[in-house]
Amino acid sequence: MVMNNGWKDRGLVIDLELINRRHSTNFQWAQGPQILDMQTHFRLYFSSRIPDKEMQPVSKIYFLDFSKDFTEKLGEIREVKIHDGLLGGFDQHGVFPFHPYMIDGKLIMALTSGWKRMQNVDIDMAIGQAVSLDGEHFARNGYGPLVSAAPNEPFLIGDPFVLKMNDIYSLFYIFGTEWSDNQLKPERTYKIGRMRSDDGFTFARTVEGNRIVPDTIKNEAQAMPTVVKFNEVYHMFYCYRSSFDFRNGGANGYRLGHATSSDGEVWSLSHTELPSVLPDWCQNMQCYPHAAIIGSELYLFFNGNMFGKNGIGLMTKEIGAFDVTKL
Amino acid sequence: MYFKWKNLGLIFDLDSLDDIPDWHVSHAQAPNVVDMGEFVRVYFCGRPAPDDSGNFVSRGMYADVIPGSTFRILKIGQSPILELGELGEFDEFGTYPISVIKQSGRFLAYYGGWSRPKAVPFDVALGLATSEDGERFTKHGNGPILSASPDEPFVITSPKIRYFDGRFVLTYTAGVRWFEYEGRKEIIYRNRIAFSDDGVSWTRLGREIIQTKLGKDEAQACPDIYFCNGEYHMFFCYRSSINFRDDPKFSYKLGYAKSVDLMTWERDDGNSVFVESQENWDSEMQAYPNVFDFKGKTYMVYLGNGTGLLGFGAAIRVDGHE
Repeated sequence: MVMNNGWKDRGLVIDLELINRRHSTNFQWAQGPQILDMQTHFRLYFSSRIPDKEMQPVSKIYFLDFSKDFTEKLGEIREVKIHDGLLGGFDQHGVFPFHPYMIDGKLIMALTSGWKRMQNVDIDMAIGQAVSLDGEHFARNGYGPLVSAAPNEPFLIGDPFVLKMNDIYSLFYIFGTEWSDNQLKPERTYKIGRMRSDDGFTFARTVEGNRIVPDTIKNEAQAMPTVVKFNEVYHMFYCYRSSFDFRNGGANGYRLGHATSSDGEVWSLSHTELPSVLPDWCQNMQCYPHAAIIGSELYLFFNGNMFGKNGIGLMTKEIGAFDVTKL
Repeated sequence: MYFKWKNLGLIFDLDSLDDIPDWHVSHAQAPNVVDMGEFVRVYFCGRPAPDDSGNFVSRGMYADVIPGSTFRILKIGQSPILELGELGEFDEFGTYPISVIKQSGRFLAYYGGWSRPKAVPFDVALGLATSEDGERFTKHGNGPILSASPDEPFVITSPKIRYFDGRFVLTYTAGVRWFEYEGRKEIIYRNRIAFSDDGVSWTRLGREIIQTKLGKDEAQACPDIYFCNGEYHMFFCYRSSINFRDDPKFSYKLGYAKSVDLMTWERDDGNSVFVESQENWDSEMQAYPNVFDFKGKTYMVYLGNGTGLLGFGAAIRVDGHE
């Protein structure tokens, strides 16, 4: 096996081509993996695009259950049962990503990244909330967003990820900073921010418009923060790309980022901990990561080429293999 | 306490004014008064020519006026008081309505910022802008100060700002639902209220505050609060959410409610009446009221037929309590 910074390529845990062939389904996308510990197994949520009445893609949420080591699929892909967004609502045109989290180890909550198509720019986004007892049926907290734009975070509020840190909950998310109109069509830039919560239900900004992760490249757009803690250090994985000419992947396309922090607020880049060799399924693009500590390993789920057209891949690394001297 | 109003007619008549700025081609909507001592400044919204897609982008303006049995227009501001938002921002396609208050020597403007979603013709969220002179306002950030929330899903608009008992009181409307009727997307919105110590961060009451009279299709707007004799008096407008454009029966009329605590309101439209209405001016519609005192008299500025197409009008209180 090639030395890959300690990472083991587990391949596509959701391989859409294989699944569609076996189950006569027609999933075209599996984007934004997010897992929830269901005690006896793991549930992997993701968004898939289906055409609406106007034949425009709308993201719906699905899940597939896995054995605790992610070697075995349990059952088939099922759709999350949740009421659709309203006409004119923040999530009328879909939810991507869908982030489940637990409160007090019992109540299953979800923050949803709602999409609304706009006339002059592609979309706007805001974060909604839902609650569940079984992880399949979710009840919405209203039909409007829980977290939306603010004076210094004017649009595109999305990609929520909640982590309980000692006595408080942190919400890592992205906010839009600019729609640039110097290209053929307006292109968006967003950055990673953080909010806090005492109870895990309501979240408040401490400093509005505060970017917590440094840029790596010019015109950087950051997305999908996911945070775990081990060895007393917080590790964030996210993806970043150029704001322009990124859709075909490659140099300007999405790739993974890694940053570390002792407090969750001040982050230092640590990209050298990432895989150095990329397998075929993510050769051209790596995006939408989701991290979890399972046993002694860090599991990193993410989408590969074409923003997740093939499915969801997994790479794992022993916690002990992270170079603590770099932290 | 009841309110009887004598109609003073179309006191800001766009056709008869000669110093209207060139860019302002129609409408004077949602008038809102700030007391300037010897005169009042009436903020309102006017429309430039429609944009390439035939849609209007409303802009904030002001006129300095001396109220009386006739209103004397002293000056009309020549530039919009507020810039539009940049690409993709909540107020890219208009600033309407606008409500201004002068507090601690500063002018604070709360305004509806208009964006254009694909599926419905517009969305609105509230912005804040401030000014030292009340003529040019600077935005408090590029995003909204009050926007959709779990139970106020869209179209947060029609702000009226007041200051009572050491805190800011913001009344506004929140959308209830969009629906399609005869090929158009129509919206129902209802009156709401929020409170703030600093005018920046708001606590919403979180429910509708005014009972409907027309049932589930009633749309309410412009909840303007006037305080006198220990009671809060709300003047607002309401209409049916369908057929309101063509049938005067369903178009905007004034509503009234009162409260002692700002949270529980008792609706009693009959408690505020006009002595008469004028053909061709406000016979079919009365909307967007703002009530204020000036030199011992009480006035209301409001919109008549055509919701401000020709300008705005005024009425003077004549019930003996003035």
